[in-house]
Amino acid sequence: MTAPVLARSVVRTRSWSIGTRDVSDFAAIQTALSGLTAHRRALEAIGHNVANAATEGYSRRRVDFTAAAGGTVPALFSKPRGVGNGVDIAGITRIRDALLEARVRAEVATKAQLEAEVDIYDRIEMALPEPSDTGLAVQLGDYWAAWHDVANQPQELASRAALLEQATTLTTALNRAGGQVENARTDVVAQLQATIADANALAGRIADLNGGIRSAVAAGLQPDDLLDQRDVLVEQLSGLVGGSAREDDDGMVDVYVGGSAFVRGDRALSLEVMDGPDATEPDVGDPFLRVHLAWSGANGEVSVDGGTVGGALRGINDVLPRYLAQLDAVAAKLVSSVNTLHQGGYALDGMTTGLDFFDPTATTARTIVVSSDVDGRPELLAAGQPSGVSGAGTFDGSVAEGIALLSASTDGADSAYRTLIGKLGVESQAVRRRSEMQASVVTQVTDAATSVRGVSIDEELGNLVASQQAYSASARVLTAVDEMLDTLITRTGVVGR
Amino acid sequence: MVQRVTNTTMTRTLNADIQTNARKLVSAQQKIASGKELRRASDGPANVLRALDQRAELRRYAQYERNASDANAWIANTDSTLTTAVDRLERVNTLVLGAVNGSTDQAGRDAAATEIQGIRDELIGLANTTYLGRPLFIGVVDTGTAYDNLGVYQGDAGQITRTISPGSSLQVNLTGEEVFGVHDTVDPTNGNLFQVLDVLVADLQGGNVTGARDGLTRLGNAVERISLAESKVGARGRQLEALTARNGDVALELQSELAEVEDVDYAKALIDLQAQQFAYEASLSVTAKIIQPSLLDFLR
Repeated sequence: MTAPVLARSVVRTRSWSIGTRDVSDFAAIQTALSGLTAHRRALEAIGHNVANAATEGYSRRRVDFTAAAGGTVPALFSKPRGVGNGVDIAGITRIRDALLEARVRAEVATKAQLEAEVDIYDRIEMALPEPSDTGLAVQLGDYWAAWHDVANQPQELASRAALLEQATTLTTALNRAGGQVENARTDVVAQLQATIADANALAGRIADLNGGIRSAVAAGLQPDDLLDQRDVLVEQLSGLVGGSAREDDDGMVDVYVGGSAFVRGDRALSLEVMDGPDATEPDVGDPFLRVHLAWSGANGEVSVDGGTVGGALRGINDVLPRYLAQLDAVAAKLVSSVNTLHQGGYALDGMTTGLDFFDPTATTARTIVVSSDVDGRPELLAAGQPSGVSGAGTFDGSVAEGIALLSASTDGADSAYRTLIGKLGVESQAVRRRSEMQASVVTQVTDAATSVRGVSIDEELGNLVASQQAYSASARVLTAVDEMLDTLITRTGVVGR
Repeated sequence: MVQRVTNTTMTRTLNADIQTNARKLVSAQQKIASGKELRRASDGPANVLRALDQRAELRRYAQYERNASDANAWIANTDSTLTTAVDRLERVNTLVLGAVNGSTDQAGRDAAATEIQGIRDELIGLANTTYLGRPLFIGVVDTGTAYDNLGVYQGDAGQITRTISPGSSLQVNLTGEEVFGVHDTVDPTNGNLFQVLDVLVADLQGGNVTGARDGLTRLGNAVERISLAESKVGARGRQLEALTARNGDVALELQSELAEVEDVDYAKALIDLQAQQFAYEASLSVTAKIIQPSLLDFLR
């Protein structure tokens, strides 16, 4: 990235033969005065720059000088003197590179989106802390081990009761993990609503500033400071919702999101969070209901990929439901595999059979629960096959052993959970890496943009010295002219006085 | 890269660098403090999966160990019960040999019969030996005792197995019929150990020396059956021992693999920490030097 090279004028010299004509002595005063005024303006600009050295989004100002030419059309008594009329202020430039600023906005939007996604993966990883001594994997292992203990001692109510306890611990852990993922989604939806409110407010302020800028431009003013304020807001807005910005001739900026104008001139639309074509409020009770954005008063969906909002939408509609579904699949697998075997087994009395271990109607991570068939009734756990002697109980633990061996099953709950964790790790790591990379991209483009528009105190001080000297020198010129006139006025025509 | 360097660029860059170094420092400290290389799934997905597998496997091996110790208790109990039974039957054998000797009178035979009757009751007791409230020789049916007072088997042919290594389970019980023979209601001489003893006692009491001599052969067969059962149990015990030893090795191996994947390499972590600390301090001191001077310091 190279800073734009400022055009330097090539110096061409040419001498004009103007002879020795009369010149007005007062013109020199005007020339000196123009120097004084110009350099005072330059000093003002320097003061403004230095004062705003730390202001966010400030673009430094530069007073552009140009040599004031004498009149080019000679009149009867007024002819150009050949040396020009001092200095003119051509304008005050607000130095910034529009292309770089656009890139900053785009990269900031991507960064915000990735950061929002990292937050979401953080929440999931917090809900599923693996590897740990307390995570679901450990609870599953302990559960299967409890079945082994029942298989070893089917006649012992203590080991059966311990199994029921462990089963409750496991279902509670699953309920909690599922609940945390669901809560994460509820929280992200609430955050999304807050973010959208922020974005709407920002859009409104941008529109207001646009209006101010247009009036100022129409009145022939140069609203640089309004432009700076507005551009800061535009950057903030793209951090929230991505999109693109386009400047029009009046100095106003239009912001486009999802293909339509969020801000057009001095008018702004507002966004709303929806969860269905007709719904007005998102129903976060259903974690699988898709949430989208729409313009207030209009039905169509506004697709937003970038910014915090883009990341949040991806989390709400894709990441969180996907992991919740996978967690639900673990629970469903647990329920079906254990129940199938358990139904084929017999209780301690050797007669009762066909009982469920887990409630077969509760097959999600958030709802899984020990069936009321066996809850609190350890003697009813089906650990074995019937004895074959009618009326006699059973010491058989073969069914319990079969259930315990589900632990190593390649399509069981453990393996489904393992797959989930593997996927979570890979995706989360990828998003984190992209987010880190994006952060450094943003640093680079921001550096490039501020290297154009930022204030360098050293540079300003250099300019300050130059302007100060020039001001002094102009004052000296004025003094010299004054002295010359003094000579003419007070010291001539005094002969014989 | 020809860029103007402004004061804000400078402070922002320095700030970012200090932040980066501070973050790395904290992460190095956390690693050392927790002793864990992996704290969440994204810390290294492949290694996290390995750690999960190894933890699950370790948990299973811990259970195999519990199962094995339970199996061991079964086998040891069975073995000692059988050894005692064989001892008692040696005594019966001696008694019968003495009783069928021509020099022994009916009183002597009656005395022997009484002792054998006592040993028979003792053997019923042995056959009803329980482990953790569960008769050893009953199979899997819960009928209270394995043998009633008449020596009739109450249990079934159920097998009790223990999973003691992945994919292999070991039968730990012997049924009463395997050890003591099958009850025969029609021909008691062809029946189980207790019937054989009952017939012996009756023969001795009735002075049927020839019958008692035949009984001796049947007794020998019964002892042989128990010895066979004993050797079966012995073989299972040895298999169990071998598997347990191997399980121990595997568990140890898993433990060290898990530590390798999950735990922090302290030497490396400490060196990392030192390096991060140095980088952090360096960035602080550089910042202090760079940020202070400006042209202002050098102008009059």
